[in-house]
Amino acid sequence: MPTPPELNQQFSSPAERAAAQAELQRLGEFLREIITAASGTAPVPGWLAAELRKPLRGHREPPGQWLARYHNVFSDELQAIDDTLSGGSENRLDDDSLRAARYLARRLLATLLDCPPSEVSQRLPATPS
Amino acid sequence: MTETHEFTLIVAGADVQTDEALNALAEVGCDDATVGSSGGVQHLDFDREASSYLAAVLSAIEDVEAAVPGVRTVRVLPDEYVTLAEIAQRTGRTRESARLLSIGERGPGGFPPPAARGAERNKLWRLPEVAAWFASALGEPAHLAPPPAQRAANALLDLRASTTELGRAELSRVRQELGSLIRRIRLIEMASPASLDAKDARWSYADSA
Repeated sequence: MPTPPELNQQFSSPAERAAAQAELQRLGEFLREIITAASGTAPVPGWLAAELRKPLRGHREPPGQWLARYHNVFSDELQAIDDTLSGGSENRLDDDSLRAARYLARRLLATLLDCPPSEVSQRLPATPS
Repeated sequence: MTETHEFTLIVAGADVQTDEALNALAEVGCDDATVGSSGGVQHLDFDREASSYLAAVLSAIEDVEAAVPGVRTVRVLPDEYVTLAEIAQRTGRTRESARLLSIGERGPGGFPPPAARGAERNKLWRLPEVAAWFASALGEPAHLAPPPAQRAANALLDLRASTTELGRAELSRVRQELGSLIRRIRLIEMASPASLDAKDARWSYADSA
């Protein structure tokens, strides 16, 4: 599949679109916390520290190294989400971009949490730190 | 993996049919094109091997314009003649389904006869006739639309041509829109499952350890 799933489907209602926008905003805030933690400009938030302590697929890795490696591999994608959310209201996302960004955010967090993308929202705390 | 892609470039400006131009075209690798003109319109009919249709078209445009100073590509056209495989692709069917339609074993019958008969796999149909049949017999006009990659190629050519005709304020606006478009394309590229699967493989401790 060359493009994100359901990319060409229209949102069925303004409410569905608003929900997607809200989900992207929420996931994006968690991803921004990863960026700032990896860059050392802010302390590692509690939820992320807890994840970093878990073994990843049976392997243990020092949390700092774990975070740096994640940030290094996904730096372009993390930056793309940050840029997308930084656009502000004057740069309203079209439907395709919104779907793509939401899918990207889900996948990035699913990799970090080592869970399916569909479970990302439940695995995260209600709000970022 | 490469495939052969058939398309026609309509060009304007310099004459591409002089001996000098033909030699230059051959030197840059355009020996996969037949050069001609019809009604004063110059065209190059390509059978180009490339990894994708768009890669084939864009490399051909680059080659032609590098080989012959003063020539510019104005349009990409599909070949007027299509194979059953192309008919299947354009109509979203399997090749077998298209074959059954063509011999009347599926659908209402009356499929246009081939315009050129080669070996069974090399039969060619005229696209306008096939398109008209799909519209009238099956009510499917959608396949008349050119493939997305061809629309993209022509959009790029149109945009390039328009930039010499726009004023400074309009160019600035176009640049802003292009910036947004580039960000959108980049986002969609990044969010493709294949791209993310590749990144996940890089990330996977098992793979990197």
